[in-house]
Amino acid sequence: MNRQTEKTKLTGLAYFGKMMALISHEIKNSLAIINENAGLMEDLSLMAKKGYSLDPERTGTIAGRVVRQVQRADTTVKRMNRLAHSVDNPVTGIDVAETLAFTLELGEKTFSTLGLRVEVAPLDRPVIINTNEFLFMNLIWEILGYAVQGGGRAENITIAIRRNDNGVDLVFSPHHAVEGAKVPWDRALEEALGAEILSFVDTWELLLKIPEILKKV
Amino acid sequence: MGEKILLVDDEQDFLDVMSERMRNRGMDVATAISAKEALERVKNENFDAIIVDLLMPEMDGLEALKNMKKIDSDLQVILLTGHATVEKGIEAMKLGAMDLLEKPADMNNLTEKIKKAKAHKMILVERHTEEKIKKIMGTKGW
Repeated sequence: MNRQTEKTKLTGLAYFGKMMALISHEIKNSLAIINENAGLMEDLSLMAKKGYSLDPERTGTIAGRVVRQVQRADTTVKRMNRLAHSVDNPVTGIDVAETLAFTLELGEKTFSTLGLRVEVAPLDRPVIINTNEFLFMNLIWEILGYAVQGGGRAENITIAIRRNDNGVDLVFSPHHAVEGAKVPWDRALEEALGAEILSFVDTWELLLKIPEILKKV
Repeated sequence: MGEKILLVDDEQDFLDVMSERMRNRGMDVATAISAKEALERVKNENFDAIIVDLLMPEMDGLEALKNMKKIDSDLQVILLTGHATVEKGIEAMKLGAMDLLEKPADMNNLTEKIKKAKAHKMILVERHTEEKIKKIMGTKGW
């Protein structure tokens, strides 16, 4: 994390905190469903003691719900683990589409609460860049966060990935934060990633240019 | 007669298991998978208590609470949340929520709150009916 300035550290901590809150919420939801199913089993055993017959279909359904929630919680914990390890190396090779998809999965609950739907346009082959994975994810989160700021407009945003001579272009379309041709957030994350953001008012597009290799400081 | 409940959550598994447990306790339970669907039901049916998840896609629990209260200010809404914070609790109470409970909620505690909600709603309905009768008596020259 030696590329981080004080500003990116604070932004990064806020992002990490937000993701942890979403992850813990997701785990709590799974636990709540498992807890209610355990409670239902208790209800059914009490009823069985009073002479009601125990329906195997019902117990099978309960077991199925518990298994589903355990699998879901396991997926959530795996995501948490991956997020935790994203700070391990200051520069690492990432598959851009795959890392974008992971960033979207992590923030999905927030996006859906805001009515924001984000899609990554499919690619015929993977695009790999060497960058700081955590800062990359943080910047994507910031860009999408600003897409719904000021009025909280529900959007369908598409992110297109295009390889260029020096790295990769990510095109966010449409993006309302480009209003007035100004990018409203702090530039510290862009600088730390050696990235550049351009906005195009006429097409409501925001272009994020990231170098193929982030030079080590 | 059992309490008439509307359970609102975006998790189908949660709706299924909670409604089954509540029905086992003699309650009459309807479910809605979104706040939008819940609002439609509230417009057309009467409920003794409405249990709403705080974090839902498109319209969250607080927004749903605001809209429900616009439809019927007597509605007794209990919010459920993965993480109850003091701020959220205060916000919910200001908007007219009856209570805010943290998931996993204790079924006995929830049942208790539902019974209180029904009793409170009955008092409010009786009061409104009394006011209406008084108004009619005052305007008619019988």
